[in-house]
Amino acid sequence: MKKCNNMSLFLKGILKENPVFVLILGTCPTLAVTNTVIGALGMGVAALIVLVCSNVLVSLLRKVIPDNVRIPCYIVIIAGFVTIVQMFVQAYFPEIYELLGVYLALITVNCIILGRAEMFAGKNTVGKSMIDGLGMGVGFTIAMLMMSIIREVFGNASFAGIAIPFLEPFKIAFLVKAPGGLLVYGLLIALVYVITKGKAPLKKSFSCEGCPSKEHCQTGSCEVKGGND
Amino acid sequence: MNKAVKSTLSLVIICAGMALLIALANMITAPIIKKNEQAKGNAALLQVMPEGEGFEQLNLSTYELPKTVEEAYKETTGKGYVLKLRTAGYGADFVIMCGVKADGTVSGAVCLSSNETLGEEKTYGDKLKDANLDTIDAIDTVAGITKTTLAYKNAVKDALNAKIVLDGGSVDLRTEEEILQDNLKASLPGAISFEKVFIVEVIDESIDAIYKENNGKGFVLIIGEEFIAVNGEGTCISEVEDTVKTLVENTVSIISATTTVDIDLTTYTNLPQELVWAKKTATGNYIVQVKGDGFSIHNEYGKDHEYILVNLSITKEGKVIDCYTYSHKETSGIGDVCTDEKFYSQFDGKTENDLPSLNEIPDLSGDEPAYTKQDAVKDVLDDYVDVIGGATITTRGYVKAVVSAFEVVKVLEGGQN
Amino acid sequence: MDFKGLVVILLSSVFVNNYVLSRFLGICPFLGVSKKLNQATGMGIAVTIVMLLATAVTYPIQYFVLNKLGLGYMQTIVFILVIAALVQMLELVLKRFSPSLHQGLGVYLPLITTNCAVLGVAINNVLDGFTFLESIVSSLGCGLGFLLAMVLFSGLRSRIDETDVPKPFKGIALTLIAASFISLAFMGFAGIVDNLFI
Repeated sequence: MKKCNNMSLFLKGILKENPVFVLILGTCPTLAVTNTVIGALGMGVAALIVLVCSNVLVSLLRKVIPDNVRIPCYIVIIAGFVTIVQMFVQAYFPEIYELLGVYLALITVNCIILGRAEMFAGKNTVGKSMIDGLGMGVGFTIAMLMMSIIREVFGNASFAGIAIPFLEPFKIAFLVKAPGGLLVYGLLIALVYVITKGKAPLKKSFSCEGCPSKEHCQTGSCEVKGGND
Repeated sequence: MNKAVKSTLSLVIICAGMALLIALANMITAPIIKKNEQAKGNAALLQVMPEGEGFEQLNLSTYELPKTVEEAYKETTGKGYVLKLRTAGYGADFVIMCGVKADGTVSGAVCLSSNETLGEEKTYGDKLKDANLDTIDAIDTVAGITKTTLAYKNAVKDALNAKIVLDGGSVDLRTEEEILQDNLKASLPGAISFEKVFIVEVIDESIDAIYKENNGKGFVLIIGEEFIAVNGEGTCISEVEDTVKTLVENTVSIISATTTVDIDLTTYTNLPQELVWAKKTATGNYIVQVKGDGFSIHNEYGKDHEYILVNLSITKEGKVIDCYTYSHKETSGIGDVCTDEKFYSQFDGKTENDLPSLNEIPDLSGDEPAYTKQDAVKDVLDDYVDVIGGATITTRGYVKAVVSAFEVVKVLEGGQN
Repeated sequence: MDFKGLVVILLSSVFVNNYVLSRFLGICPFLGVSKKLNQATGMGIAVTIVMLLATAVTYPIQYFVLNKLGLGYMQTIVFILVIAALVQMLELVLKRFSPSLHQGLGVYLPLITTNCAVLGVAINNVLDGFTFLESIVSSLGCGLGFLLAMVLFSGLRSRIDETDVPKPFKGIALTLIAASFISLAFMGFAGIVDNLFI
């Protein structure tokens, strides 16, 4: 029975509570690095590793960290793991490091990670936190891949850098540019809504809980948001 | 425990813990990152020296290298050097990476960055492959991007020279002009600087050039490879045969005694419009300044259109004694080759029959831009003179000026114009 | 001081490299807080101020502390802590000395701590190798660009929310698509700024 629970815990991050398409978290990297499949995959995996590591550590320390300084503590933990991941990417995947640029460091302020630390890891056991991190991370990676496949294949007539010649005459170049990212993201959100028939948890009910600043936040200023990126 | 203290303490501990983790990760990854960056830098070096195994950057301050050399790398197994050179192209600076093998030949050269408009300098390095200091001068520049490819070639030459210096040898980094001045000074004691004499009298053909010391210390005459000095009093001080001594002294006295009279041009009609001014020497030779319509005149985009002014000395029979470019506004690096002695000295000794007539030289007026006619112009000029690469229009203007000088002499001699 | 260079940096960070519309930094507040004009303005001003302060503080830290100690790799963790502390302090100062201003801007400040535009500006200024003055000008430009995008978009947002669109597009989806068109318009600025002084 426990296994089944863990499975659903894992799966919910991928579909029902997909951080990108349903919770609308982590929009910056979703838009910025999804113009290439390689970049999106790199970003997805990097965020996944940071997410799992920080979830585990936050969960381990959840009884030690005083409540009033927990957000700064979480930020330090996340920034630390981001820096470590950044170093390893630079050492072993220099091409991806150059592709992601500043956005790799900005995983620090990706609110999926801070959101999960605050919402889940700070309250649950290490095991569950890890599975939650994995699920959310995989969900994030899948979303990133979907975006990037659409953008690269139709925008640049290539997949992961390999050219697709027969699409060359039909490519829509603006998809790999900034406006294309916003457009594809908007369309995909609508598509996910159609697929889940609007039964996915409403953004509103999740957003403020996941938001690290919810104590300071006045409801009026934060209707659609899920924290900051 | 006080709550605030506890909060601060736990935050500090977490910070310290994470800092420790990061430092640990840095210890593992830093050497790999450094190696990656080195490999990336080496990739550019390997491009010009594919057989290289490892490179080590040299400290330039201990060597006296050509100014264009920015960085130097030594191949660790002794296969040669790779030099990074920065030189001026037609537009902005451009950077060249050049490999020199241990035997002093170019193993490869690439242009790393340039803002040049034309693309051919990208592949020009391939032409220079396997060249050495003796053969590199024979490699042609590319017409149309003469200056850029010339700068490219000179940079590679600098790389070849740098290799000699890095091997512990020494090279002469002086320009030809500097070498000449040094040789002149060596042959005339006390001399400070020299200027070439514009010869207006017929002198012995064996004399190639005459230089005058600017402070009245005397003259140096060049005959073949020899530098023969004459002091301020007109006495030859070099140890040469008596016949040569006499010849030299006579020549100097002829040159020193030359007097000229300005010719009043208003008394003549039918003088070619190319004429600017004319003088006559006591011996009856003419000195004229004529203007030619070069590229500066015909360049439709140019701002200040100016003629090429050519000074010529001509005998009354119509034979050029000496010739030099007085002023011009031709394109820097292309047309300004007309100030090279190699170019204008080709007119020395020429007569009307050695050059095309004014009618033969194609006309450039009309609606079509001058450059569209350059091939036709080149066809005509090639039979008579060495056309400047990439500067046909400049050469045409120059030749036209010289040819009109013959007409001037005919009119001034009261001839049958 | 190269005045032209500074103007180019300023204009290109406002228009060409607009943080929201072309670099996708600070998208969350852009989507979240752009519903009403006054909110959008407040958030925009708050972000601009924090960006300027963050740059003024992180620049010396990077060059005179981290680089000197060979701790360049601690950049992310130090910057985010500095920004968090800075925002907290700014809030305290505002609360104490100007309660009316705090009422106006204060609510946005906590949201800014984890705004990636602020960290992005601080890191980018170092990556671009700007001088101190250039960094300040560039963060001012980025802040103003953010403000511009927010204000422009708030006008559009009120219309979008009133229109009757197919249900899947309602809300965030249509907002993003509208943002896409504004971004498209901003692409038109590319090339203009670079050629301004030629």
